[in-house]
Amino acid sequence: MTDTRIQAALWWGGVALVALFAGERVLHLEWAAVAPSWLFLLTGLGRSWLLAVIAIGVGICAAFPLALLRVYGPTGLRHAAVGVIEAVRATPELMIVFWVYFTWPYLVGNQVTAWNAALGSLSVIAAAYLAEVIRAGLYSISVGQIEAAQSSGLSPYQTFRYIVLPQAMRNMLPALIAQLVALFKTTSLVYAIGVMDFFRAVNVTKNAVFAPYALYLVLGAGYFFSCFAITRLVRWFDPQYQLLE
Amino acid sequence: MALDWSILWQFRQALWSGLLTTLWISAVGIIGSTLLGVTIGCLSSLPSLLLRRLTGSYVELLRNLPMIVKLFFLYFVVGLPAIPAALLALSLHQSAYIADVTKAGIRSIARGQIDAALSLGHRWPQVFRYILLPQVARVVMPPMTTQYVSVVKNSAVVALIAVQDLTFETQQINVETFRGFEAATAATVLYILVALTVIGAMSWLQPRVVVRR
Amino acid sequence: MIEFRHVHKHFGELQVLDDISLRIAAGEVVVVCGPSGSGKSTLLRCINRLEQIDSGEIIVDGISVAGARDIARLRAEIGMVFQRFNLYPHLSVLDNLTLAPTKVRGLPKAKAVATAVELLARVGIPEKAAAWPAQLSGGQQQRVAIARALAMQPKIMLFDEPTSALDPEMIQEVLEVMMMLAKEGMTMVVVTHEMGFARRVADRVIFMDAGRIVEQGPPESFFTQAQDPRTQAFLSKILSHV
Repeated sequence: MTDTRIQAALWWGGVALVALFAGERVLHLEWAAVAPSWLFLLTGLGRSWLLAVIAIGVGICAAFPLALLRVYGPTGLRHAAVGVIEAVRATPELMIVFWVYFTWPYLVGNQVTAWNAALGSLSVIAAAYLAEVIRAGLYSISVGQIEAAQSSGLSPYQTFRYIVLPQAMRNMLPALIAQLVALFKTTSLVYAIGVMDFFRAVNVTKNAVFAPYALYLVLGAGYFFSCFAITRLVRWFDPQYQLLE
Repeated sequence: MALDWSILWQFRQALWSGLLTTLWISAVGIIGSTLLGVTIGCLSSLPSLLLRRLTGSYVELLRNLPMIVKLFFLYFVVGLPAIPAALLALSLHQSAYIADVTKAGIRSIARGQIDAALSLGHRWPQVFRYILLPQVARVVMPPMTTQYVSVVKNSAVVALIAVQDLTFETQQINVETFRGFEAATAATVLYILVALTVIGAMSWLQPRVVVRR
Repeated sequence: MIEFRHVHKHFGELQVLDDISLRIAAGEVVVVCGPSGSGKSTLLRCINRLEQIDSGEIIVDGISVAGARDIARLRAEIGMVFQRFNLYPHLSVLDNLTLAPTKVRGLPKAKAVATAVELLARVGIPEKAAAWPAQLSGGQQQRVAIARALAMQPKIMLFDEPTSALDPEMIQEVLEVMMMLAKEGMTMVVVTHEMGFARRVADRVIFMDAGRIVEQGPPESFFTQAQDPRTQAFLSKILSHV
């Protein structure tokens, strides 16, 4: 008990010391050089958020049919769904970004803008991971629930619509939001095809003005607090939830 | 535009050396992140508030930053050479997740095991080495497999600081021949094969660490 | 051998040990009983610092437990047996018995094995050395757990409800091993509701309630002339169905 109190004091003392020391250093970083770019950087952060939110939206729309096929689909389609989901999940996210950007012209015949390629690839990634989240949600409903519903005369569709889906949605909500954290971090990869997201905005600024530490502090803080905020949102929905991305 | 798969044969040397680079970087990343992550996970399981706070901060900080931010920070700001920066970034990044997996595994083991070991006079390092980790190994094999596949996938990012891995070579082929589609297909197939190898290796390992109950 | 001096401990608001003072001599067998939540298990777990105390002092074999720099060395001298056995499921019975002697005491493996085999014979299951804990009955597991604690050649043995998790037909085999130990002069602190054991083996019986020692005495007088109404109520409940 007393031991715990000493350790708590040590911790907070350490935090205060680090804050004091680091705070002093931080104040003397190259802020004057960075200040004029604040709107540019903020726009970049906004663009990253926009990418993540749109891709999650598109991803959910694509993930539902994929998950349903994987769980309820006829054999052939089921295997196809498994193949697509697992292939995407086993491929590096950066490769998928390149894939969409470089192979789109072959498949469609005309060029694709980097922004659309970014949105497309992030949506594909989101769809594959969310399909697994949805599948886990569907499997989280016990057989007893389904038997109870069917024995009370509900059709298979009604069972799904009124019994399975509402419960599954509730169970999968935290995991859905957790995917937003993962996806938000993944947006940083579209840097590679030239989209002016937060990561590229910071690095472009870094090449223009000499302020590496200040800029990387902004970079880290931007990602950290964005992800941290989403994480808190998950905890708010489910305090027990273990974030697994 | 017609596809030309012969391009792959032409660039087989580049693809092969890229694959080897990806393999060894991933292997070092897997070993590094396991050593770091398991250590942090063990420390976070000790009955010490200070250690819990410290390891918790470590995990929270690393989990909320993208891999590419760590990589560029180590390479461009700290100024490490490309390969050490790549290995360190990969290890640090995944260690946070592996720490959480380890911590959850230890928590799943009955508290009585720790009581028994301590009451017999074992010190904490021995408690982890002989009693907890052998039992944890069994439960964490499946989540660890996911983590190791992630290391392989994250290793692609090191191409962006010009480490000549599989992704980098693919980009080179695209630049030289504009055959991005063929190159990306080949690389993707190779990445999936590496992921399958990791999964296969782990499921081969699984029964060998199984604990009798 | 063991001394409590004004020991206090609380979990949050709950006072689990309230000004406990107690002396246990070498070779003494003390049975601790009381209703659940009375603090008897906590009392036991404080002796080898599996629980920390808030104030007061516990002295074991001349060493202050709270201040002990090297708690592991002290724990090695104090054997403990748990309600749920807590055998290591990933090790064979023999390895369960030899792990601490080899790793903590640094004994050569061959010597540890010889001691282990001898101990398994003493607790009556020499044939189970190669078995896995999961293959044993509860009674056998608990006897292995006792042997595991004895393998460290402790000066004191602590028993935390050693028969509470056992099926009735297995209780006797465990109690017999404990009686054998008591006869050999081991210092023992036993938390149990086995009043038959207390009557036959204990030098002293302690009754705890709400973190305090309510009453104590030799078994003859404890069972027949309990003074405190709480002790009487407890005894009447526990003895009526024996």
